[in-house]
Amino acid sequence: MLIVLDDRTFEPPLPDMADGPVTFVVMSGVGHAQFLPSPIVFPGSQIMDTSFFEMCRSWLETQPGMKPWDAGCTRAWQQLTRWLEEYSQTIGSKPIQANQPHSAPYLRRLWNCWSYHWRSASEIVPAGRIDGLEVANRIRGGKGYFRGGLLGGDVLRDVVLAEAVIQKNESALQHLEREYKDYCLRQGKSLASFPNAEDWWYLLLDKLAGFTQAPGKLASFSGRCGLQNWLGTVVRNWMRDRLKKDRLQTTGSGKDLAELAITEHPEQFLISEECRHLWVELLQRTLASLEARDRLLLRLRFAQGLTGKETAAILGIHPGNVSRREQRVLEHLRQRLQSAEVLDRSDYRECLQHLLTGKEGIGFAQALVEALEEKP
Amino acid sequence: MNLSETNKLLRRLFRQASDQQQSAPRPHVVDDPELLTCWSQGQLLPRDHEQFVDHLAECSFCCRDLADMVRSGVIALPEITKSSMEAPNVLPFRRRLQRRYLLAAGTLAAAVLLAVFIGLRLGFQPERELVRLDQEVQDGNFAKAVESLERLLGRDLSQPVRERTRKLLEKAGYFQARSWLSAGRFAEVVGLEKRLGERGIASARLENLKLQAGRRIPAEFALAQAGMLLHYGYELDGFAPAKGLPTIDNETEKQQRDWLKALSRFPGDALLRINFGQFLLTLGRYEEAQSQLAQAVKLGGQDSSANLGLGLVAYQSEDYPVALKHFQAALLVAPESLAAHLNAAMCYERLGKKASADYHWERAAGLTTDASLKQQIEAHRIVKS
Repeated sequence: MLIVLDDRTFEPPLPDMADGPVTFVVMSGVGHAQFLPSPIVFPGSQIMDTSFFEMCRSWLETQPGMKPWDAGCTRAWQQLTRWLEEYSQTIGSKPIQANQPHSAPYLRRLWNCWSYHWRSASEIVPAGRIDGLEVANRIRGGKGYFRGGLLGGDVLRDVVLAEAVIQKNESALQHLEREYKDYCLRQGKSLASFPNAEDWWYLLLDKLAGFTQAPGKLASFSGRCGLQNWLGTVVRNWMRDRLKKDRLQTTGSGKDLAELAITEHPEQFLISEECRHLWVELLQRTLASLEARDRLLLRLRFAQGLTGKETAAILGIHPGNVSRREQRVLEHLRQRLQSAEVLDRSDYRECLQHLLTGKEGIGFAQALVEALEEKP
Repeated sequence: MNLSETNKLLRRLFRQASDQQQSAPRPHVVDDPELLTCWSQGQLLPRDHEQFVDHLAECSFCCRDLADMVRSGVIALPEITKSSMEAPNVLPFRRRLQRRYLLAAGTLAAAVLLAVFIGLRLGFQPERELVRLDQEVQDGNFAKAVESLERLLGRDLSQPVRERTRKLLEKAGYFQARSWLSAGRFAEVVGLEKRLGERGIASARLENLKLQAGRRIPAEFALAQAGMLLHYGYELDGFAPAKGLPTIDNETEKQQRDWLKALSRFPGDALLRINFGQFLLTLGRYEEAQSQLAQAVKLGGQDSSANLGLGLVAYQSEDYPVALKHFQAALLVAPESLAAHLNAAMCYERLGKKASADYHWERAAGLTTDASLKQQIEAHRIVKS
């Protein structure tokens, strides 16, 4: 996509926009301009990018206030530009006008955020239609639509701040530090202590803004949740990664760590490689035959050792249902492992004997299920 | 490899099989902090949550990483409330229409079911059913009887019939649990006791079977399995060179709490006290064991197991005359008790009465079916003579 402005040709500022439909429309304040495909002209010589709206036209056109299409787009665009001006002032920088070349990524982010919440709201209201401004007012108050939950701040302001930080805007960086530094430090300290808070904060800022390695993490923030909550997740996850790395540095590689645990009492785990492979392969096949959610339940409970409550939260079911479902899945697993395929094969039988020495009379399936039922 | 080691190995095999499964293609859900935050805040739409779970089910990498995040506190769990599991109450028109149709079909189905139920209820006679099930129990079809009795309890019964059903269910459940226990099917025993407990059946003997299953002892009386001094680290010469300190781990502490809970519910049950006494004996808490076993003797009269236990306690406290007295009391009730003969022989030897000891050695050798033990006894007798 090329933008033609006053006979000068230049590449668009956003690389990802180059792949989009060719609908970028430019209107210069003076002189002449080329419009692709049709211009929407604002008073005061503003620029409008209709590709934002074209991409979701089929859905957007059905929403209140969007007909006729051009007028609807104009209203939405004006709203976006008003927010951009307002929020850029809030975060301490100069007001960003829509006709400034670096405004495009801000407007795109604002639209992505607004349209995400607008669309989500339209999916849960009767008749599937809702006024976009009503949605905007709600999310600007930090409230989402689903389950009446809190988003954790004005997400429209947050996306502007995120973009300003990515563009290394100095006042935005100061604003981020002023507003979120203490919170991030608290989040980081909840997982591990660090000797120098200042160094830690600048490392984090580098990760977020991408000073040394672009793009920064904030480039992926799109305002589906509040920036504060998002930062909490990012910081805690970052601390977890760092802790993991530290642990690996002190104890060797991850594999070594696992081996270490296993070979602590090698005589307890005396089982040939072939035998282990055989049973692991069989278990994999058996797990693959389960329904996806049942497999996930077994994985979370027994391979990852999560509690029933944690598993319920991930699966989105009531904690009271976990044990019942777990019993059912274990029974199914037992039946699959007791199938003729297993019992008829002599190599399985030999390994089984080896595996269950001292547990004569108990089948592999029963022993496995009992072992899983008995929490480590 | 002992039981817990085998279990460890099996769990490792399972973990390996689970972790080695293929990962779903990118983008990974764990790489999207925004998605994770929305999930954690309960802000994911049902459709997005479906996709989230579907990806986790296919991707072992994400599953492992998310579990790690949850465990390490990186992500707080979303609150699961009743409303959060329901679909939003405002639905688009088409879905509302669909729901209306479903509601109508459901109502119709419920009406048909109600009619069938009323028809069945009119022809149903619980007392006759109870007699039939009693016969099932007597015939030894415990599993079938338990299942039918549970179903029967779910029906609308008069108070006396309900009481009789409960009693019969307790009986059938006890026999079923006992047969599972001796077959080493411990999980089933625990499950059955829990299920019957939920149906309001409180029984000391079922509770005892559950506790035995928890300890993985395939016998109703622990002392029937571990009544000989040989089980507590002693050799036939009466000494215990390899006796170490008992290990007290979380499991043991839990078991102790379970015993105390059971005893507070059924303080007058001798069997529970005997087994608890044996449990304390294995932990080296002799005084407490003695107190429990003495109470069991009082409750159950001249019970051989309780006396056997008291003898073991006295022997471990090196009070050989008292130990001998208890073993003899056990022999009075159960003259063919291998454990009592063997223990009595060891006591006589420690007291220097070789002739009496030899008599009991001879009886023990005659009673044992274990060829190795018989050989050991014979060898010991030759050495001592």
